Amino acid sequence: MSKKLWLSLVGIGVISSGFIVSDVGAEGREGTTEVQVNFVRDGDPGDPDGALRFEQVIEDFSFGEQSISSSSQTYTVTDGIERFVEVTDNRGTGAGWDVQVRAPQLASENAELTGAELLLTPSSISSDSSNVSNPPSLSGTIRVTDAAQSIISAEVNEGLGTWETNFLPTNLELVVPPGTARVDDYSTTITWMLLSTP
Amino acid sequence: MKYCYAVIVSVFMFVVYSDTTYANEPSFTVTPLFPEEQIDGNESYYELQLDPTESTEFEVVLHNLSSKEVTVNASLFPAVTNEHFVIDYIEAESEIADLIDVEPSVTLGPHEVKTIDVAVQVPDQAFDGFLLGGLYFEEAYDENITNGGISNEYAYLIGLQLTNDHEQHGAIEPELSFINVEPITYENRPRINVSFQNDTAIIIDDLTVVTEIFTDEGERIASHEKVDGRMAPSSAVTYGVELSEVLKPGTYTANVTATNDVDEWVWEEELTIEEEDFAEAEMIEEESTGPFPYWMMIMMVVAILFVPIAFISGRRGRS
Repeated sequence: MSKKLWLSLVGIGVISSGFIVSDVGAEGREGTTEVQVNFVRDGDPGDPDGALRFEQVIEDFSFGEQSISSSSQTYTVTDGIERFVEVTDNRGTGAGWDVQVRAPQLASENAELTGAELLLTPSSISSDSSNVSNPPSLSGTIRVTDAAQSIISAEVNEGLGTWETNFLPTNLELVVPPGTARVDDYSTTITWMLLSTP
Repeated sequence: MKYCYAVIVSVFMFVVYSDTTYANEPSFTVTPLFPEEQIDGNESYYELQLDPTESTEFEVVLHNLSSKEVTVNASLFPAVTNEHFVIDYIEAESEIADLIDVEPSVTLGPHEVKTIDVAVQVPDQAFDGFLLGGLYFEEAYDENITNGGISNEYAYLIGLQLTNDHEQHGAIEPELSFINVEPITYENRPRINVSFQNDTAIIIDDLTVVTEIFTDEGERIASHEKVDGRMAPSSAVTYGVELSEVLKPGTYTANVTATNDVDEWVWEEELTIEEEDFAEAEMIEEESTGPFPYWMMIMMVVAILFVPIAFISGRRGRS
């Protein structure tokens, strides 16, 4: 017999003996050891280690003081700070999850900044190099509105463990059309929602 | 000309600025505990099967991770379909909101673990498909503190689906019906709003929706495409087709095609634009692109001429 055939026979032997061992183990006979690993949620119910949760959402940001212009202008964040949204899924169900964003139109105490577009572009997503789960997918550029939109989305068997999505300051933009800005302070609040839904 | 105007008036400032920047670390977590009515195999959101008139209760565990006191507000929001064809959970009138009772808020001490009680009732009459909502949890912030600029907050949402018989869902054929098409002004821009509804009590997935607006001569003047759209059970969607300009009064046609993997719905709807339909958008368009301010140009010319004249005459006066 050739060397190759011998090796493959040995291989089959090893695989079959693996089955035999577990089979014997299941019968609970003496002299065998059943190797079994059951993963459970960490700790008690409500233990944060076993939850689907945000580790962090992005820091507040601003577009500074800008001149009122009569042509459409695009502003980006200039503080040079890279921001992160970090989600941990230690539920162990592989059911996936979704991060959605919503925000009302920018407004001052007096009026809305009608027509302004707050744009978010997730740059990239990463996890610990030893994480074998599939990465969630990122949306393209989102114009944040009052109606929710998905920005990070983990389908079935994606996004287990901890995943960090980064936003470069240049990927946080504000487009202001002419004729809307007044000499005033404008602000809004983005709500980052972590969903586990059908 | 427009750019020239831009340079001239670029003097006044507006502000989108925040004084403080701090790391945004959420201070609590949410873990669902499932009652015995939970359908086997689903451990990620509530999927409860109850017979008509039955009720149940369950708890959701909240854990304060921080070393300060945290108040968490809880609500049940019905699932709707928003303009992006996303299943959105918002405060709205709905049957499911009346059937579920959530403890509205709980205050947790540093590192404390507490539960929130949820009571569920199903309708007295048997129903097909399911009702869908979500349990929404957010930290109660002091609304009076605003830092300016763009603040970021977080919330958790766990789906809650109620059914009489989940095994029958697969047999339900999705059905859509058209509602209407109408001109509106949104965020100062003219657009055509289109509405249709999911007549079935199931989620419709993988929707591709193509909308085209034609003149009565058959010229396509606007279009809109949405892929990977979803619709919540028994919900309506309204979305906008943006127009590059205000439409002249007259008759137009909206062609809407919605398809999922299996079914296709096609609607051809007539649309009549009246004189006053885009009045608001028209007014704003005129304001922002309005006539060039010749008075400002004249003043500039006068200034440019006057300064050297004044300078020269000033020097002459001294010599």
